[in-house]
Amino acid sequence: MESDKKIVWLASYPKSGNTWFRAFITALLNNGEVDINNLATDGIFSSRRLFNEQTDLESNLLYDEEAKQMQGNVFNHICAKAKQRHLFVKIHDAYTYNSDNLPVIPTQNTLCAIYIIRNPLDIAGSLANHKDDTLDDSIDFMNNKQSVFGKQEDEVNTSLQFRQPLLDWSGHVNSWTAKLPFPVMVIRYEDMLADAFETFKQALLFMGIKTDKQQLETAIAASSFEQLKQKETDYGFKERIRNTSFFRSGKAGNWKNELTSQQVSAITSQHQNTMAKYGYI
Amino acid sequence: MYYYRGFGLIIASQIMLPELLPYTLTSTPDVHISIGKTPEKLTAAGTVHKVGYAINPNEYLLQFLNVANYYAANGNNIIVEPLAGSDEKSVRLFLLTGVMAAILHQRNAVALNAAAIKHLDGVVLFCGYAGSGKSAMLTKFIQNGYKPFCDDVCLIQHNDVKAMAAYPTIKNWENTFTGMGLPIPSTDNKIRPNLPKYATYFHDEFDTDALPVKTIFIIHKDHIAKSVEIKKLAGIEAFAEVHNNVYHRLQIYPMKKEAIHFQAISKLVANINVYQVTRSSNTGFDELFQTIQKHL
Amino acid sequence: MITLDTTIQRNTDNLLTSEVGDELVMMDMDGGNYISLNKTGRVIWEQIEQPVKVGDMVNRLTTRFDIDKETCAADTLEYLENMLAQKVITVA
Repeated sequence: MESDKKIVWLASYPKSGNTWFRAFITALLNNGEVDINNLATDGIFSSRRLFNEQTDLESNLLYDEEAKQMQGNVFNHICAKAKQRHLFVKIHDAYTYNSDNLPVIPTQNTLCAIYIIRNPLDIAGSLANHKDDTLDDSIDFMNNKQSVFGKQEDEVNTSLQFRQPLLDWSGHVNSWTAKLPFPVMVIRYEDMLADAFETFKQALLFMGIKTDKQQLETAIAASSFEQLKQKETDYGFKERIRNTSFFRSGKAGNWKNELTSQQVSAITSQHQNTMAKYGYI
Repeated sequence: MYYYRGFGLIIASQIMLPELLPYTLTSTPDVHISIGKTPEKLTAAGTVHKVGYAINPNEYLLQFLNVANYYAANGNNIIVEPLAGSDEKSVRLFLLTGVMAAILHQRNAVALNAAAIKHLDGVVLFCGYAGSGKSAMLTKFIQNGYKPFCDDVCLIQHNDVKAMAAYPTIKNWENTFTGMGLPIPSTDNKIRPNLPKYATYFHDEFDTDALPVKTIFIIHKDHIAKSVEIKKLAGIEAFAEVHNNVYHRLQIYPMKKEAIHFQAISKLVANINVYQVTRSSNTGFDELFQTIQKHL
Repeated sequence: MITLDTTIQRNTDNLLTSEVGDELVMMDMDGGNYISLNKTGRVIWEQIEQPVKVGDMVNRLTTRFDIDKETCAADTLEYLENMLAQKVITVA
């Protein structure tokens, strides 16, 4: 039944504007109110808490391979019980397949996905800040086809989130923009910056959410970068992982001030095709 | 047939359970664990079906991938159906966690997910979600001369603010041993063949008596926090934090055991101290240990 | 809306109560919610074991706590509205 499909995946490589998009959705659902530590979206795909609630298993006792066989069903069940019209679920995992060769991300209750893409040259600095790593380490991470978010040393499972396979940056983009069993809309972070109104309007149209000009403008203003950054300064933000700011510059093209020409070419040489496809070179 | 004391019960099992305390049978077992075929599904009215498990007031069915199917009924009967290719350790692990939790709830027991040490004439409990550092804190206290009471589970008596330990096994991640300068146990002690988590045992020191609960520390991990913070909780806040740590808490709703838990836990928190301790991800267990020790 | 003429009483049918320190903690058996009454709430709770007219209760509280009747009535009515929303009391 069409109406059972409620899940909207808010998908992106880390540090690509996902939180901004969720803040916008929150502002829209809450008439302009945004508490950055309590976004009105419906959790993250990699949440162990949501998994434990649906399976009665202590997920830290599971092998990652086992979890990847069940995560999809967990969200099908959450969706089946949900009263709201849409479930907005954040996800950083690349679109991959489990050991049964089935998609990890469930198809059954998925309505669509918004895939937010950002210039990898700008991601590098943002990721280095987020992980408290050097730029070179971040570039290695973005270039490594085995990269995983939330991976713990020695396969220890005490993190609140499951491991999230990212692949390399191009691999991530390609996994979500390949032919998938549900519609995917690609949104450029840079377009969100350049013309928020038009970009968010198109996204809402794609998701089938009706709104008027006034609501849209209010939500955009309430979720502006300056607003989010100020709230982080005032209240802190639980999604940052260290004592560095989560909301950094929010600009496009800042890489020109951050990266050496060697670092630029380390990224562009590996990701040339994908970057060209989305207008980044 | 093997006989054990565990979870405050006498258990007769066809499966060897080295985590529990061996028992020389002098009274009728409370629970029987047998190997056999489990029902394919639960059909009784009021059954709630979730991902890989189903539950109603008298029955619990867990079908865990390729490891095993488990059926627990009437508070006294467990059937385990190990699946082809599964290993004994994995089969035991899920038997002794969610499935035993269902048996306890079916018997109207109130069980907390807690590690505990003995202190003075009673016990001090460490609660907190998985990964918050309960077992690591227990291990730290043992390293500093305290005696273990339990890890993972203890049972709260209904009338006298006392707790009973479930079984004499402590489970720790590999990095807890290395972080505390302790030797990593042998591969045999792994709780699953490919999981870097190890069991250590204290069968010789295990106390089967119910002991008074002195204090509960709820451990939170918060990466915005800069150092260890401690605050005393009162009233509904103390109640809610302790109630959140009911062992496999979500089982109690389809089983209709809310009232029993309300009575036991409100009585417990009215008679003891409850503290919330928040540690940052970077704060080592030394600082946490020192803060908790000051408030014992 | 509750007024001074409304008769109210405890909703004992679906409530379990337990004293935890200064608070009276309650469980709503239908909704599975947990509710807590502070000192003010407990004073009101003591007064409504039997059905009682709100105006009569306000008179008693005014005498007992030596406060002016208007403040007492306003505070009590506000608290009772909360209690009603939480299904702690019923209106006769």
